[in-house]
Amino acid sequence: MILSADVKERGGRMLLKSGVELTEKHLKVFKTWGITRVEVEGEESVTSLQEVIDAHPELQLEAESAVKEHFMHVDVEHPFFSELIELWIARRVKRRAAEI
Amino acid sequence: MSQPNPQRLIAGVTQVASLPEIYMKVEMAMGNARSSSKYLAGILSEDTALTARILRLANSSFFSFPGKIDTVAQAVTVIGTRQLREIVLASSIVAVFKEMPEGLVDMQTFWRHSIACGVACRVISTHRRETNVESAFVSGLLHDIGRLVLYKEKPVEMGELINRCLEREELLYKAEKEHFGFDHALLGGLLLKEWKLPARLIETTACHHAPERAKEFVIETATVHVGDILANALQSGDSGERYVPPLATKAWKILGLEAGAVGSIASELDKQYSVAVEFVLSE
Repeated sequence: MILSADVKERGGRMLLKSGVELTEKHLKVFKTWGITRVEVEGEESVTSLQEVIDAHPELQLEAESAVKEHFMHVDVEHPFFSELIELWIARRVKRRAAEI
Repeated sequence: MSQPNPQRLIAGVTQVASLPEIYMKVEMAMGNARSSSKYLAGILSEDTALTARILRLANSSFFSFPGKIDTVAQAVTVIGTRQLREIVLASSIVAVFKEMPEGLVDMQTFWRHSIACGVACRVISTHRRETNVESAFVSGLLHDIGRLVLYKEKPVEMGELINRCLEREELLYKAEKEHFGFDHALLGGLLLKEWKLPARLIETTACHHAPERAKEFVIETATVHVGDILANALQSGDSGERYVPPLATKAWKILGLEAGAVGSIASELDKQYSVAVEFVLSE
């Protein structure tokens, strides 16, 4: 695995540069510094949301109407909520699909 | 109907329950600059349940420490005395309310929401590269404590309010304020003050629905405000509030996070949540 972003410790000090090939030794160093996640190159794991929606279009509609209720008291236009709602819909659709 | 006096409601709790002795002992040890971590470990070892928890926590992915920790003294070094104080406090408060009769709300579900909020606060603080992320966890964990006071002291009225909110699609904390003249946030702040807990916890609890009122601990309060919303939107658990509460945009700005961080915060929240549930709720 190759780092796709610099790794810095909490205080901002550089530990490892982007582009380095990760080894077991690096992982040990991360643990010692309390680094719990790093970014690596490669494709994102794809249990594609679109595939699930194509198979069960009703789940998308159900999630969208549930959003309206659950988030009725918030400003859905705010970027924080746009992100949160998108995530919420994706999770709900996947969860429901797994139950089918 | 005359509105209740919040101090009287608090007295209903503090007269029957006080913080456990172990917390007082830890506080005293921490207040004494000469007490070593070995001395602190000695106090903690008196409580076997707490000892087991602390060891479990020290060995958990929370700390990602290479190698096994098998003594309390080692755990104190790994976790750090400042964080440990917060952890003992969290366990103590959960224990106080465990003694209370369950009625309106299932305690497990209540604490699950609180734990999710605590973890969300911890993750936000980590993203902001704060140093003491454990205190953020405790602030989040305690934010809704006032609701337990209301459930205990005003069970019938709270039951009615919950139903009313479902019928009219209202937010519970607003309905509380309208009905009692104050909400659970204010009440929680008063309880923590009565227990002489740190000013930071009092302010984050009292202002978590109105972060603009925070004077001293502005960032900490904004963290709890946003953590509560994330917990409400993303995790299991139920504090009684059915809808996601609104966001104070100023609090979001103060935290200085990008909206794009929501995804990684959420997945980190999932990862830490079950560890935290096990830590706080297991016997």
